[in-house]
Amino acid sequence: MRNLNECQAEVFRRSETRIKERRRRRNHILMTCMPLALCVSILAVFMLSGGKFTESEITGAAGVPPQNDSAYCYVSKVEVSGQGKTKVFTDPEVVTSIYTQLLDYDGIREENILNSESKTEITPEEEKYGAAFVTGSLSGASGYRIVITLADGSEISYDWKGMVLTAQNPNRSYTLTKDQQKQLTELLGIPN
Amino acid sequence: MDNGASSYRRFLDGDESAFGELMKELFRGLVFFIDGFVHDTHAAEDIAIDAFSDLIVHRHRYNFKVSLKTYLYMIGRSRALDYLKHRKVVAFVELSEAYAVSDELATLERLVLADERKRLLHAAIAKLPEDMRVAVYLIYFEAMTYEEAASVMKKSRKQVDNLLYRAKKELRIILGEDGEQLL
Repeated sequence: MRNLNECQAEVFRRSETRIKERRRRRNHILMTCMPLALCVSILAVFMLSGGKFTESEITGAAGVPPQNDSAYCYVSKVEVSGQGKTKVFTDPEVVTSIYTQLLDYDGIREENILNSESKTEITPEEEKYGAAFVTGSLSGASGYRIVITLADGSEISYDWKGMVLTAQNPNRSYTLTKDQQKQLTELLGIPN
Repeated sequence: MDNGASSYRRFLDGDESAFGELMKELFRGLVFFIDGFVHDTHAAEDIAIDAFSDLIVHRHRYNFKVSLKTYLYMIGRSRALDYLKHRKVVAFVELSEAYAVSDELATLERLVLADERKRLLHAAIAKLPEDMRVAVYLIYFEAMTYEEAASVMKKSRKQVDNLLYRAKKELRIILGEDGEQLL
């Protein structure tokens, strides 16, 4: 049996070892958990700030891209044909603007959907403006066809006659407001 | 008698020599107590060192609500039972070494049980079942109160009372009429 002093020394020695071991384990846990916590918090911030690429507000259209910068690489070209002429847009910014604009119209289609019963929704002023628009720049008979080609090769078509914009597949028609018509005209570079 | 609480408080305040006083007061008794469980003096010493080490490593755990001796004996008992649980191999001691082991126990007994009467009683209580033996040892040898002994044994005061009553009955049989005076 050891004497008391030896035992006391042993007590202090073991205590020091155990305290060092605890500190080492605590640091090890911190070093493991900190990167994890950092990743989780970054992810949370990103989700809360609205990583919208998982959402799509448009239904019905195949391969609809999100309304963010990824549309830049998603829409490859826009072809506008009418009055015997065809105009092709390939600039990424321009094609994205055109496409997002058309999607915007689609987004408020709950108010603007045209059907045989809802013709009364069009105000006389809009109807008048629309008629003048048609006779002025757009052929009353043909109008314009807008074909959007996506990066995967698929196409989305719209027929634009005066104030009425019709999306193909599925077939849906929208009545544009004055401002929307003006916007679209400017975007497509159609002369008034 | 605060059973080391004031020494421990001084140690916590920074006086390292106070820990030496603590060990002087409580170490041998604790080793002897633990030896009652593990029946191995070296292991008992080891466990007692670990128990005292707990006082340094986990300073915040002792809340001064029980006496330090009670707290230390609680740790000692817990560690002794853990040791018994985890001991996988029974230590076989060579006959020549066995004498040395028993010598050390005898030394420890002489250190802790200076009184001849206590040694006789201790020899008798070694024959009791463990719970009774521990209860008698804590009350009569370590001079703990019933409450303190109950804390160490993790039993109620009433249970300790019953254990002591039954232990005395057994000891009367073991020690005979002469021995009854020792109780």
